[in-house]
Amino acid sequence: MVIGPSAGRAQGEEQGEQLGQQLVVDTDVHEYFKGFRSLAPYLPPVHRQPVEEWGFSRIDTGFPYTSGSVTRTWQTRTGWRPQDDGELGSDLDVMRRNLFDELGIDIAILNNLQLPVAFMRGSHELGMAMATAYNTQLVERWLEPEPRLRGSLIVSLDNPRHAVGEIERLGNHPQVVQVCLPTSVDIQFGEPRLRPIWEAMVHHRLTLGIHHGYGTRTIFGYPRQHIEWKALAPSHAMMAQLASLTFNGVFDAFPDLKVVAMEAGFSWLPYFMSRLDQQYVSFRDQVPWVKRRPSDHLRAHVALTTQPMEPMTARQLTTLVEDCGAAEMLVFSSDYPHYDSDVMDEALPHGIAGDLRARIMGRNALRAYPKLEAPPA
Amino acid sequence: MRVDVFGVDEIAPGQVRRVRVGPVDVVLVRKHDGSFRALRDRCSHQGGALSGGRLEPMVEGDHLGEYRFSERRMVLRCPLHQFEFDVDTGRSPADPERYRVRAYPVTVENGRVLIER
Repeated sequence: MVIGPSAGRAQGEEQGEQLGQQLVVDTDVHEYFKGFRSLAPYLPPVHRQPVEEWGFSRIDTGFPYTSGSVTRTWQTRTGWRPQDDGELGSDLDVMRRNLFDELGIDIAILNNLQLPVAFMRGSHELGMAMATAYNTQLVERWLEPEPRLRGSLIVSLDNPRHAVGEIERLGNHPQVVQVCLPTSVDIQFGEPRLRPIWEAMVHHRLTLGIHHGYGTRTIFGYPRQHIEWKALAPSHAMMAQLASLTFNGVFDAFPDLKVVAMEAGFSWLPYFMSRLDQQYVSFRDQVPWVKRRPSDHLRAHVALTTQPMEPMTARQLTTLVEDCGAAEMLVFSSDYPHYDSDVMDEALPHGIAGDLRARIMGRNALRAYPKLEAPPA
Repeated sequence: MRVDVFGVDEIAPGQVRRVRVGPVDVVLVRKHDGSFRALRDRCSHQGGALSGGRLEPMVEGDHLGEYRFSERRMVLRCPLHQFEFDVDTGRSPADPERYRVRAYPVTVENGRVLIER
């Protein structure tokens, strides 16, 4: 089901064209491991003690709120809850039934949110060991038992060499399609020290997924109210990282790098593109290594997931896409199993053209993920 | 139609002059290599007079952190919003399709600068 490293991207795109509207790729599904103790068998003995004996059970992002989405995340649809009443998304059989049997999704891409090792302010070695443990169990517990799943590696940014090692270790696995990083960390993705990571990803045809999480910040850090954070932080932080990648020449240096901006919305795209282009016309001399208009770089390199989508009519969505040339930039995501998931028919406004719907629901993902191949019809 | 605008010795390399060519305002520049270029003196963005801007070597670079002044290409920078125009082509290096001004052929004959329109 997966094309090998030697096959070209054009092949995948062509197959997607043939399959047309049948293909559905969910680009943002969250699987959960059953608590940090469940990672212990994958940790070297020296790093098991914090998990098994010292109660290490979460990585602190600084998230200050106690209400809103924090609790509602766990109040999801009843049919999505695991049989053992454990973490949502932690039961492969329930996930299979929900995504593939009930919703008719063809391919689902997993992104884990429990282990933002990039936020560890100490114990970096433990963070790296946990990233390695997570990646190994991702392959063993999720990808190999279920061929319709694809996975995203977790890496620590504290030590790019370790990150590259993880990519070298598992990047060739046919179901590993992405490296997923949190949107807000204390490092801008345009920083040169990260380039070995991007280089290794391109070599293995892995996409860079940037995902919103509890650590996402606004310009205020965490605003006083949770609703302010929820409304603004995802897009603010995502724009900052995409601008950092663009103006620090990452897209010029890695013409094959693909980025998927997840859970940050997309209706800001026309503003963002024109704003970057405007500044580039005035200040190109500050970044002479950038050889294309920022909006052209974004169209070539970046896709954005649909969920959470603001209420939008078919006309509004179509106009937005046409105005900024984004017909190939949007990819369907459900955010399963969270409370605010957008699933299938609910995800897009009724009445959009069939071709645009087919692109968003599946075909654009073949472009955003070079390792994806449409399953046989 | 060719219009005689200046004597060659009246403009030093690196200088910018506004001239009238028929009904059109044109900015005449002399590059550091001594050659002449002529562009319409009206920025295609908001109409600023390019003759009020700066003539600079184009900043080039191929790798993050690399800056060098081009030995060949020069830009005229609009004083209103700092848009650059390559004096060889009249096009913005950043967005050559969207922002460009007309470039006029310039010839030198018998010590005189002639602009063709």
